Amino acid sequence: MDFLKKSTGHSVVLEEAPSFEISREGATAIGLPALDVPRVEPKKAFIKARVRKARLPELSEPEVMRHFTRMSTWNYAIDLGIYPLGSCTMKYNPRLNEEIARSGELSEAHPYDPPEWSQGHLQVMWELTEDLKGVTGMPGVSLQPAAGAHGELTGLMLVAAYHKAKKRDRKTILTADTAHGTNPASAALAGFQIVQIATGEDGVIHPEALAAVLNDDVAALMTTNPNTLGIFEKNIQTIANMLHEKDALLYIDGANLNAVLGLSRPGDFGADVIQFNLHKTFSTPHGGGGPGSGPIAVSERLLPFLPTPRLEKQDGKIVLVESTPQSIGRVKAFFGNYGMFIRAWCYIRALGGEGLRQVSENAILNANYMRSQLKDVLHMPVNAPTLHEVVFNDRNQRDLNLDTTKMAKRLIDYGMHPMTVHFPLCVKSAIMIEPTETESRSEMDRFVCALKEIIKTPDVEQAPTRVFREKVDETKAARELRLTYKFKD
Amino acid sequence: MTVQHRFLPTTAADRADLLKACGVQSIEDLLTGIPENVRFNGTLPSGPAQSEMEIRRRIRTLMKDGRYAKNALSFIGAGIYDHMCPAAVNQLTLRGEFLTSYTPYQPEMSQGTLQALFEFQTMVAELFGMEVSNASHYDASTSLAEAALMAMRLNKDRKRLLVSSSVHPEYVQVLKTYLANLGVEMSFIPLDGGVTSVNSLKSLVGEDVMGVIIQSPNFYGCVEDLEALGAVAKSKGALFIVSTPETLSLAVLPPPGECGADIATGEGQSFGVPQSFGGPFVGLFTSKLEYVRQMPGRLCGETVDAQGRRSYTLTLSTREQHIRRDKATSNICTNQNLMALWATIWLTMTGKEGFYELAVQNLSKTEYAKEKLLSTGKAKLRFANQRTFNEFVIDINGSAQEFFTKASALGVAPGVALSRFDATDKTGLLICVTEKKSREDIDRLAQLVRELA
Ligand SMILES: Cc1ncc(COP(=O)(O)O)c(C=O)c1O
Repeated sequence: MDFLKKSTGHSVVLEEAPSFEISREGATAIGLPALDVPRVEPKKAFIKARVRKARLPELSEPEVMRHFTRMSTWNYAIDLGIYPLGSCTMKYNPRLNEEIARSGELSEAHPYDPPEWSQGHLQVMWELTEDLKGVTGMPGVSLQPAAGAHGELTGLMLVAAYHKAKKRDRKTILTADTAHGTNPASAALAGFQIVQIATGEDGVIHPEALAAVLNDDVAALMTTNPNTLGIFEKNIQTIANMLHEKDALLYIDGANLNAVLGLSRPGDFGADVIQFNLHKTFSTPHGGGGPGSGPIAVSERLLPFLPTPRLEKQDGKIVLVESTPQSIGRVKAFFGNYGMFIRAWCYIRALGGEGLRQVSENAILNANYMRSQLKDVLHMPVNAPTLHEVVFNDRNQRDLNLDTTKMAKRLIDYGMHPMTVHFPLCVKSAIMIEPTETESRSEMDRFVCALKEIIKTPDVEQAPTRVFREKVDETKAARELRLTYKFKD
Repeated sequence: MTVQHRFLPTTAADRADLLKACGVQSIEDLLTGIPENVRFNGTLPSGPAQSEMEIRRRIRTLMKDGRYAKNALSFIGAGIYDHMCPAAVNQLTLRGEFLTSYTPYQPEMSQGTLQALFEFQTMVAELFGMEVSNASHYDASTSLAEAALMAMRLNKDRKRLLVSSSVHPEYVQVLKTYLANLGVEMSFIPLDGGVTSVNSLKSLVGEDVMGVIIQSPNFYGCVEDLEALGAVAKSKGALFIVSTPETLSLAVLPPPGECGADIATGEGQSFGVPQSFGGPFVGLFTSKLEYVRQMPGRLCGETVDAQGRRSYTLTLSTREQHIRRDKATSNICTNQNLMALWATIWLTMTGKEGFYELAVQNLSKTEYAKEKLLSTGKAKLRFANQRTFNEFVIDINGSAQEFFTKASALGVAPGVALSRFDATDKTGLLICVTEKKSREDIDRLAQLVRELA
């Protein structure tokens, strides 16, 4: 199979210095209309004005265009090829969504506009809320959190408020050893302590393991479902019942919802709160690390505590209610990452209810295909039915001069983004592959073929080398911190 | 023949092949991991699949009464500022290599994003006059909340947090929510004529105060005396935390870093980011270098590759959730990278002189608007002695809310009626004038005040 020779996929990849070095005094990339009112000088207007102008670069429009276009060619992207990062759900981002979200109709609105001007935006939010209720089978939704981790924090604040309202002080959040790092971090931020449960041989939480740690201090159990091994928590109903018996709650990290759209609803097995990652499941672009959006859905138990403002219908109009007695309050200024709501709303409309189920089915089919193609060369530490992602490790390669990190770095030389590595932590040297439903068979075959070739030729020392930048020295970066450009003057 | 959905490359024939490779007959055989009792057998309620044409048509119908369709004029600011944005910014951020890449965890495949972040951090630190900036936060409100949490970590044995009464009310609400379960005692510093009272701060501050939070320009548009306030805060060992929602003001006002700020936060929306009904924006977070290990969020650092060439990578990640878990400095993972890129391109295009000039235009038009409004005889400046950048409060003849309603019916949003935040404030109208308002626009606002107030 033929692979690209440069991992970014561009035939022309040029060097480009930081803008501060190519800046030349007197250049600019904007033109302003002549000032049509009397000019007021800052020195006159303020008691103290800024003395030295900020050293922003000075470049013309064509130079700026080239500067960033050249830099863009140093990136890999889903638009270039498979991006099988497990847990991250790197799927294709439909472009209509960008066109609409960036159109003046949507992008120029201000949240404090007169309510009559905002009905369309509120309607979009209302409909998205209904979609998310439908996906989860849960009665309440807040769109406010800005990303998955922010949704987790919000959800856990609701859990805290629930117990506080019952006049008790519960301090423990249980997590599984498959948990994403944001789970314990969010729990700590919400004022909780973590107790970790080990998953069984079959990769899921067992009722006995839960029983051993479930006491009156437990506020909630937090687990991803399907979990980060790509396995459905088959005991989830029992777990939910056990928790509820102690009036503890069930938090589901919804980062992996791409596996279960229309196939299983967390509300049906008693989940109390779940966060969505609209930038995963509902295809809002990752943008090199955000913006995301992390709405939450909740059960009856948590409805009173949802953040404000809340969407309500009054006399046929949608309004935002600013305060309600038991609410935890606001977690973000304004109404959330609205631009992401639009994209998710478009995505859901494009697929429809039936299409969403097809998304999950195809995501599962593709992950199982990867499993079938790789299971003879890579070791599978947990042998259970795979849903949308599959986890291997490097056990079969240990006697070779090859490990997880090396395999990942070498994949770059084949023009492909590596899978997630060293996560989940319960699997040593994990190799986690999530192709998503938007990869074709031939794209998956290219990946499989590359990985097999790497395993057949374990002795290559330096990787990556067919790239714009070879192995980057991360130790030096941390030791000799350079976080800003050092200006000459 | 059935046709696949346009987002799904797997045809019916492919599907048969894939199933065969998996050694199963049907998709159903792959779902055995989901227990029967928690399977959903209905159809999700999101309706039928729609074409691009249908979705566009629906959106157009929904937005027919919106600000854009009305070609309305607006003087609303209050934390979101309507600034010009060159066409190239939107175009560049649409490039798939930026738009559809993941967080740059593999530096060899993401030097484009990383160099942009390095430029972003440099420009943000420069604007605030601070030593370090992180790679972005959700928005200014959560940046500020995380600054308070950072102050808690740095001043572990202190329990009180002082917050100026001139901080954006929604930021204050977010602070309250974040701190609700953490045992922090939050109190408010009263105002004196539209700005934080230095004397009140003196009497409130003590050895048990972890941090003092000041916003400048503040919610009412007034410029705070950061230097004086910072000196009082620091005299008792409290961290001095500044929030700046309107960061264009940094072009002409003394940077927080030069006024003694230990942590300075703000909103990057001012850098041409669309208002977009409230988000996505880009939270800015800067601090002194000595506190960098307590900073939340990602940091991009310069280093070299195996060939010794200048390169960039995410660094100091031992502060972060994926390494440190419950001991991390923050839970943040996905941040606002594309909006940070947006701000970076905007700042690069605007450039040293353009950024300054833009600020002067805001200042000039705002002063013109004040004069014009006063000349109607139906409005007074509430804080006539204060300096402002591009926002100010007038007390209007009669009810501000009524005026707002009447004016908006004529296609002009004249500002924010302060009764939105404080029901007892009947006459206050917070008005913002950016470079996008022409002299005629301002005259029109004045005319409406004359006619309707
Ligand atoms: C399982 C899981 N939970 C939570 C998160 C956090 O989501 P976000 O990055 O949107 O904050 C992630 C994403 O990386 C994840 O994979």
